[in-house]
Amino acid sequence: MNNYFEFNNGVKILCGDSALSNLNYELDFLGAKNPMLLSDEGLEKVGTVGQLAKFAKPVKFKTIFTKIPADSSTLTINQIARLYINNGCDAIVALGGGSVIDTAKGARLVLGQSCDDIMRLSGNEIVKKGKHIPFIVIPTTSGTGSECTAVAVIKNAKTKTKLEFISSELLPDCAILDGRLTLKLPPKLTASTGVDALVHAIEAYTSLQKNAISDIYATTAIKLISQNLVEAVSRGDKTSRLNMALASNLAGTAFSNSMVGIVHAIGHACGAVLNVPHGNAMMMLLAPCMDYNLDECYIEYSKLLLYFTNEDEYISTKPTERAKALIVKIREFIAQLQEETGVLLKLTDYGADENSLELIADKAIADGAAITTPKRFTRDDVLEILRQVY
Amino acid sequence: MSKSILVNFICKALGKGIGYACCKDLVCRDIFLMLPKDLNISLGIMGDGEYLHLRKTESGFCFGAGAEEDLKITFKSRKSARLVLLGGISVAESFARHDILLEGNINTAVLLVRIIDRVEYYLFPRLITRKFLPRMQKEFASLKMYGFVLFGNLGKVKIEGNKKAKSAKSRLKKQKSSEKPEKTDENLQNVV
Ligand SMILES: [Fe+2]
Repeated sequence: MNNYFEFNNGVKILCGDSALSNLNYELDFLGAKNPMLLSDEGLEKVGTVGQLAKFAKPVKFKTIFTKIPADSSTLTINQIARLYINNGCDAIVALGGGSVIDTAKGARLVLGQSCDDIMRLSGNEIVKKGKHIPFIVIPTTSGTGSECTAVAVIKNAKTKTKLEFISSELLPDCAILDGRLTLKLPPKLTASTGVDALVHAIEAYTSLQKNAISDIYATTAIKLISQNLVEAVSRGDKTSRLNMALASNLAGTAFSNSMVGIVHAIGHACGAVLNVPHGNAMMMLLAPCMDYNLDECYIEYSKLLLYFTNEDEYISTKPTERAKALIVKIREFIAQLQEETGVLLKLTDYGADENSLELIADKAIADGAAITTPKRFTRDDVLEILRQVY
Repeated sequence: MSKSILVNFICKALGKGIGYACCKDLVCRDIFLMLPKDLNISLGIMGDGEYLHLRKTESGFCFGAGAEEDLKITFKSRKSARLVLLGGISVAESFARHDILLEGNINTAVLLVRIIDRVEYYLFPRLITRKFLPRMQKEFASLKMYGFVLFGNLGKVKIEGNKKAKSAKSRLKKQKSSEKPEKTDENLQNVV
């Protein structure tokens, strides 16, 4: 365990049945009278935006902007910031998944820092306390945990490159986890985003930046995921959905403070080179990367068996076998989810060839997650892992 | 506050080491070629200001500030800088402790960290690096690096074309990635 650590989670969490009915109070508490709602067209089409208006009555949004694309950029962020100012808004409410939330974080940063070039703020912990823009996040997927992370990835519209922002100024004031909003999440997405949350928790628990507080978040998330994800995928009931929303939030808080590692480094690169959806990449890479980390994370993996399974299973497994047993269990878990949903878990399913493996390896060794990963990896290590899922 | 003479000396040595490694070590050279063109890097300490400016040119790194830094690395305190620069912890561990502020592209910073790791591997005895760096394959004797760091001129060491860089990727493959104390069954029994 590190002899020094920092932990920051200043986000108020409203979690449970009818949590949305308290949105009005939260906006009032934050002094907001003219909130702006940010979402995407997909959620508008399936009726989630309308659901929010119904569940959150009597909240009235001054402006509703749903034109956030999946691959959002500074262009959208600047458009939102202009709209916010022109329409006299005084708070941002983000309803959606990773892209909507990251865009909202970007818009809030631009407004709070009163800067015209958000790209100048990219980096680690360089943003200073700015003007307070009330910011509430309502996630509609259970995976990114973005509603509780001090991280955002924003694409520069000019250069088409994605830059990472790490700052406590990205943390919202409040996150609302209401199981009703994730009921429409299709099984495939439920499975892949759920495994993304599992990876957040496992990587946070094993990272260089791990600490006693984030460990509690990570282990609780792992327990919730192992008990609820299959259920959420197969039955999709309210309880398992809400538990997954909570697990995703806990895992997000854990990794926001402890960072992620090799699974994300390679996963980000797979997304950049082959457009592999993030959750699918996580499903594909988790077990091979755990195999790679095994000698370095032997103790941590052994402990995690308790949280991923149960006391009986943990006690009946020989101490020396526990780490490996965890990886076996994780493989079985992912195989079960794949069987239920048919998620594609081979790189060739996404058009990979030898050349793309090389490109992925180049990107992976430069990924931010490579810094805090517990076991250093080389380009060749990445290629070896990629070949296992080729 | 006046600058620390010790930190100043070590930063200059580190700068020379980075420049030398990018020319003479194929793994570093390969990473160097992945860095953005005309990259400007600064390394400093909050309150003290900058201690090191490096600029990427076609022939390698040189000292000197560009118009604007693309990558600005700042330690939060002298204590945190010393911890890394004197081989107490790795750059990655320092980042994990929130000791480092980073302005610019994090991907570029990660590549630079990979170069610094190798430079430290050459500069520090294994007794020191063992606790925070995996075993790496040296491509030349550390004495050469010491000699350059003490007496060399960064302007005079140059990358000779990209010919040798082709072999860097294959060299990288040979580099074994980890050597940490084995986690034995015995010490496992104590914690699980
Ligand atoms: Fe993720």
